[in-house]
Amino acid sequence: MVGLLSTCLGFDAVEEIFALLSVFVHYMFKEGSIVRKGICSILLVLFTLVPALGEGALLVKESAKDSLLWGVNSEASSLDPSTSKDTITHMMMYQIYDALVKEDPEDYAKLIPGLAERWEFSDDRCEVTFYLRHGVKFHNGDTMTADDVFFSLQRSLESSYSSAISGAIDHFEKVDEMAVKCVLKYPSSLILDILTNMTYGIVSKRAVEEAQAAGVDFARNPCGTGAYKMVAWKSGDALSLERFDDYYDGPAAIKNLTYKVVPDPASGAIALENGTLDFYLVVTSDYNYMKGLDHIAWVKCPGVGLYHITFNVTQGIFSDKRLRQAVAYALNRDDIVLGGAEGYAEVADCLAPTSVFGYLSDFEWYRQDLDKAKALLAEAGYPNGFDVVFSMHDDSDYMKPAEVVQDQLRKIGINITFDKMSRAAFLENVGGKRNFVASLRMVNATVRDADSVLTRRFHSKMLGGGNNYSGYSNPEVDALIEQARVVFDKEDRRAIYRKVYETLREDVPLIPLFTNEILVFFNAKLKNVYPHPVYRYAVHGMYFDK
Amino acid sequence: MFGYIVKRLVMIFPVILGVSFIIFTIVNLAPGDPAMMILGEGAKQEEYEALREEMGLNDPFFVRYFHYVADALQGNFGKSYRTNIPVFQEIACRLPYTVNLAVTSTLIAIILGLPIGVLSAVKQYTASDNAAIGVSLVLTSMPDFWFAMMLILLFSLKLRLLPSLGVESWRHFILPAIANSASTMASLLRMTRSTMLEVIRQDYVRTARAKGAKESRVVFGHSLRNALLPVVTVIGVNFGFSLGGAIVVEQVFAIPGLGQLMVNAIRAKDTPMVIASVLFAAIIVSVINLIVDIVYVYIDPRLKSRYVTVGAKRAMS
Repeated sequence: MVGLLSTCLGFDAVEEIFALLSVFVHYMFKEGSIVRKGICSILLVLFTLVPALGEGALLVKESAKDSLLWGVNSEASSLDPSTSKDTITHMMMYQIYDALVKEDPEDYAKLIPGLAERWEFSDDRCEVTFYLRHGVKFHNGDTMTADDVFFSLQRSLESSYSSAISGAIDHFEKVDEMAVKCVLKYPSSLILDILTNMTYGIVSKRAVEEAQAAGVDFARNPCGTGAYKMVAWKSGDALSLERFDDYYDGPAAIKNLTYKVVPDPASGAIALENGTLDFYLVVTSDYNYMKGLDHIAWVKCPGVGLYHITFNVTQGIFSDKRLRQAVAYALNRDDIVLGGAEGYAEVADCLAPTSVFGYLSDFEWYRQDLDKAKALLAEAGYPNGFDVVFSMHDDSDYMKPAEVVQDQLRKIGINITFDKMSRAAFLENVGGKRNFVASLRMVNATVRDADSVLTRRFHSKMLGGGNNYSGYSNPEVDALIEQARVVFDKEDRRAIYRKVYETLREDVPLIPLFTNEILVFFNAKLKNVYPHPVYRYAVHGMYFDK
Repeated sequence: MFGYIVKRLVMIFPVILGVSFIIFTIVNLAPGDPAMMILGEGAKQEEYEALREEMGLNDPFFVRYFHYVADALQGNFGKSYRTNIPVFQEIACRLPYTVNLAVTSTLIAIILGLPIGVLSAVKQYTASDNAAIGVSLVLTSMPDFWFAMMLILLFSLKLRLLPSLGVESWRHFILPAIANSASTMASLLRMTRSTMLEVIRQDYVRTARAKGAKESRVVFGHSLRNALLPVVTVIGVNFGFSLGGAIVVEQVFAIPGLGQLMVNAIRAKDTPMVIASVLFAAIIVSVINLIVDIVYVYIDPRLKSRYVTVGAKRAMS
């Protein structure tokens, strides 16, 4: 009866009822007979036991603190999956929305069912049918059906924001009330990874249509199935979320989650240290000091970014391959990691981030050999070196390693000066118009596979638009990249990637430097924090220890 | 007087129009493609071009400027490229924090800077005077960012007395206001000292002392009143600097004000937001300058007799 009452009325209501009853009984039996005292005692025991029993069955884990204040250095741009793509926004959206497939929070390399409880590939692997989980609720109380899923996926596919990851997808189809099919242009081994992306988060169709009808921006009024629902969004200040009690995987332990905008990394680090914040993503200095604090914990993992030098291979001095090879021979990338990333990076020997599938740890890139570098310079007609301008985004993440590169290349007579510019100017001038000779930049693997970087930086279809801005075009490499996408055997794919790397090593349109590590600091009492290269932290499983 | 105020208010309009043209030109000439900033890296070339067309970025410069002014006159300052929120709505949320910060820091500067400046002038060449000059030199030389960080390290981290970021209560504004008031306080201190030194050497001040007036009446009743004119000007000018300085302070203390909004808009090439933010800042500075001019009229009896008395005579006739 207690359980039925609790389910129908909620545990708070049941607690109130028993409190009232116990008071009523006390005053009814004021004379204090044994029977009366016994009844009161039973009621009082139930009064205390019911909430304890109820809460233990309801929550994933109890949390000593019910609010988590998470510092971010910029606010979300949009909470609509179809109009967002930046990492910080997706980190917040990860709490509000679910995707068909998700990563195991404890091991992000492992994919597990999300809103789809299972899936089936067709024989030709050009179709994937997803069978949806039953009884999943949206924040507005609606039950998820294939209509919502088809609506969400198709609108995201049609959006420009998803084009970087959606090359393989042709369209989606609704199969029946609880099944949706994804039809591919070609068999892709990456489709499950692609659908973990928050760009393909599932929204309530009714909520979107009602927002449109009311002239309200859905991006500021999200409605998903995630463990948290939005309560308030104070522009430029904080995004406040609250636990969704009807979450399909059980309610989260921490009730309130607030993403607080703290633009300055130094202020954020201090706020973390003095206990104002429980989590801060961007501590960019004094890692050893933060690690030494007892009340601060940290986790790290390899990121998905590849820092690299890019050459303009079609115009300018580096259109000569010998000079590009000379630069490759001149560099000591271990020193670049130490000086440019304070040691929190791993040297990359392939043109892919070290943490993704397709990176070959046994592949050898150029090792430093200053004699060979000078010989190549002489052969190309520059025995005394030359002056060159590196066009740079003026972010310290790029300038620090670039300064180490500058120092190393000086030893073979190549004198670098930097043309620093804002991100906007860099994307337009370098990425768009290709007005540059050389640059140092980073490319993120949007899907954790080498294809993501190889396509963007080397496929001839990606010329322009800030992607393949070196101007590299090699039909052989194009064919190999396309072939790797449709092969499912992992060893076969690795063999194809090896051929790609060998060709790129000879042509050197880019020089791989390193993959950065993602190091985050947080309140040591916060448990179940698992590292993730693109900040997909599942707050649902976290709790504060006493 | 009323006519003077109305005339000055009307004159704000061509000033704002001029500012709008200058800032529209600068933002549009600055490198950066809003479409690339919105879609980020990874989108296709044709998608960037389609978005540019949709946003009207391919229209001629003067067509875009004319449309902007026409819409702005109807209260429509456009939508943010980044968030798609109406710009006016965003600024209306953020402006109170910045104005609050600028007003509070100016008040702190006046409350501390004026008395210390007076003391320094009255006790010229003493240890107090030298200390005041030293303090003003330090406050002027110190970068706002550094001073703000030092305050946080001392009061938030070491002493745990005040919060280091946020806007939840009045306590959250103490450190930001102090940080933002430093340079204004230094300017006021020096200006007050300088004008007071000039005034206390005047004959009428010597006469007041000779007549047996109390020193406090000589200093505050006769000298300070006459020394205030340039000081009021400095307050007005520095209020504009306080608004600008708030950009740095807002970043450090995570205050969601106009300064932070402007910085993010510039970085994201969010043209409508940048233009509107600058316009609103220009309007505030223009209004402050007007207030300073009006205060001038009431402080200086010579101006008062010209504007107030003349106005009264005109009203009577």
